[in-house]
Amino acid sequence: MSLPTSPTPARGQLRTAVLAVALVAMLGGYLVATGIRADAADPLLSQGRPATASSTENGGTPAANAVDGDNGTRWGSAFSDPQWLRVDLGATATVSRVVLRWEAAFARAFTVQTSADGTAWTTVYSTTTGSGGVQDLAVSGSGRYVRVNATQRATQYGVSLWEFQVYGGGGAPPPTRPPGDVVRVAEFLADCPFSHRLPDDPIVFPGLPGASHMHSFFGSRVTNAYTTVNDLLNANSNCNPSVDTSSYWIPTFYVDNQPVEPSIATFYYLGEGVRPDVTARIQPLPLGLRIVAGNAKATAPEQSIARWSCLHHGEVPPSKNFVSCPAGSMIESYLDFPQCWDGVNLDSTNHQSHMAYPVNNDCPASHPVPVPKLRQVIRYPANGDTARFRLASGAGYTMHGDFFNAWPVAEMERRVRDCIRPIIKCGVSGTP
Amino acid sequence: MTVVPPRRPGTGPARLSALLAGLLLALVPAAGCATGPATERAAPASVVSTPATATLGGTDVAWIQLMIPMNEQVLKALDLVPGQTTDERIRDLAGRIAAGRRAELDDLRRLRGNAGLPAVNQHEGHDLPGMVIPADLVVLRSLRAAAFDRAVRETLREHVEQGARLADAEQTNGADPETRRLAERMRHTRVTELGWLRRTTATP
Repeated sequence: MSLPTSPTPARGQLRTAVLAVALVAMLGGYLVATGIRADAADPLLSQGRPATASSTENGGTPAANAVDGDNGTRWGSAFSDPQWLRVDLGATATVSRVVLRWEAAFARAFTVQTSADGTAWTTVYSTTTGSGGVQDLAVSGSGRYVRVNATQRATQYGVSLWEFQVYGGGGAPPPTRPPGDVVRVAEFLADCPFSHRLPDDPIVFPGLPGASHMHSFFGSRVTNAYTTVNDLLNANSNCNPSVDTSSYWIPTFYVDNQPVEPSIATFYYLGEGVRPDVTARIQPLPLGLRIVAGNAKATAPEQSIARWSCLHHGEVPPSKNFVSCPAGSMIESYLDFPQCWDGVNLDSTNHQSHMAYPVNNDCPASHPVPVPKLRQVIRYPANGDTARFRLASGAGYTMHGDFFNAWPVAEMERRVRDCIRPIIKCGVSGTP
Repeated sequence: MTVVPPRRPGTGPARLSALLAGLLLALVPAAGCATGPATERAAPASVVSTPATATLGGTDVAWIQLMIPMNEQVLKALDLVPGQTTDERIRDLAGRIAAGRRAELDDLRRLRGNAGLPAVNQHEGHDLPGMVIPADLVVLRSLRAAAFDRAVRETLREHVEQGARLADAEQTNGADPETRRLAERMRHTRVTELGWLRRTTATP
């Protein structure tokens, strides 16, 4: 509830026009996917292939991150022009489609080129007006090597790609990597963009539409106050992978009292946080499980477990409350869900007591079943003065997340078996 | 892109409009008579269910656990009224609403206890629609006379309207007959209160 007479600027007052203009200027088309969708039938050739680049921003942004199938890891270049990233398909292939998933630091002018030998390049796509986001390009070419050659950066930073994907025919057979070659992180993930907003919460307020503060929903397209697990299983999701029909929701983020939705929402499923022998016996998250993490009622930062930071700007110390991020950066929120289940209940009257966090890197006797740890990573197209920010639930430390599991049982089981227990980093497909 | 997901039949905007229209219609007679809350409330015992057979659904539990703090919190605002208003009508209005809320709390807590739910406020300090939160009380404490009256009337209007909506949802979607009966009475109380609020808003 907000009083119209409230002298508190964060509540109940509108400063709309300034914000709208500022946001449009800052986004600069970041959210706009451009290009023409090519024949989706051609297979992905580039994933897991050797990748090299002209430079890297730091040790955490190698070229390989752009071809690992993981939209949560990226290649970033040094802060200069030009820069390139190339992938070796292993043998000559026809190339019909290239997908560039730019991070906030995108290229304004770039070409996509193919080569038979890695020396002589043929341009198959060229632009000087790139606008970032996801660029899905129909191309026609062939070669063993495919590269993106960035000649003009759009920001003061380098250029950075979450993923660089080449589709077509031919190339070498899929890489059969020896066990030692995989990344030793127990992980799979789902990338689920913003779907819709409603003042509903089917976990905390089932059957009571309008009872909640405003929530932003991700994944399932249908979630409302009445949603059941069968509703989710029978409806579409906007997740990548689309097989994940789960619903994820968080309090809506406001800048100057206008809702601002995330540019990126990634839901990682991790095997970390417990001893390796516990990881080895992690069980699939049961269908229909509901989890609430974070503290919507927090009245002070120390009551929160959520964390705010700035994308690309580790020099800004993370905080339980909003942080002021430099221009060009994005404020981001990390939240880890409890990963120990009581083995019986899919929910509880306080929506918490059926789940617990590990104690001494093991699941406590009261909650003996280890399950994957859900890590919610949310990145907003916003930065600067934190006085302009609020969540529908209040201050930054009221950040929370709700999860209603509707992964089909077989899909969840496969990922736990192939990625989590053996400690292998998988992408959205759930394969190494 | 904002997508309005499908709602179940009878629960969409049309139904809400119907409810609000119903509230407005109900205001007409309420505005013209002097019915007080005391004559409308049944004895608390009438809403007590048999403990052993109480079977609450998810909506019943959520509604009880939400209405308890909503009532508790609005009482903190109502308690400010005698010291800060100069309008006798607001003072009377606040007294009548407060008496109703305290009686409802007895019923709600009894239902909570019968169902074995913990006596814990699930929504302490939670900024929810219709919920009076500590920041609201800070504002109200800073105001006097006409400015206070305007603010407290707005607080109460939002609280009462949201309470009517939630009671309607519980009546429609709840499973437990006792809880649904209490919701029906609480909705009726709020319709009446909206009439009182409207009358005090008219300039004397």
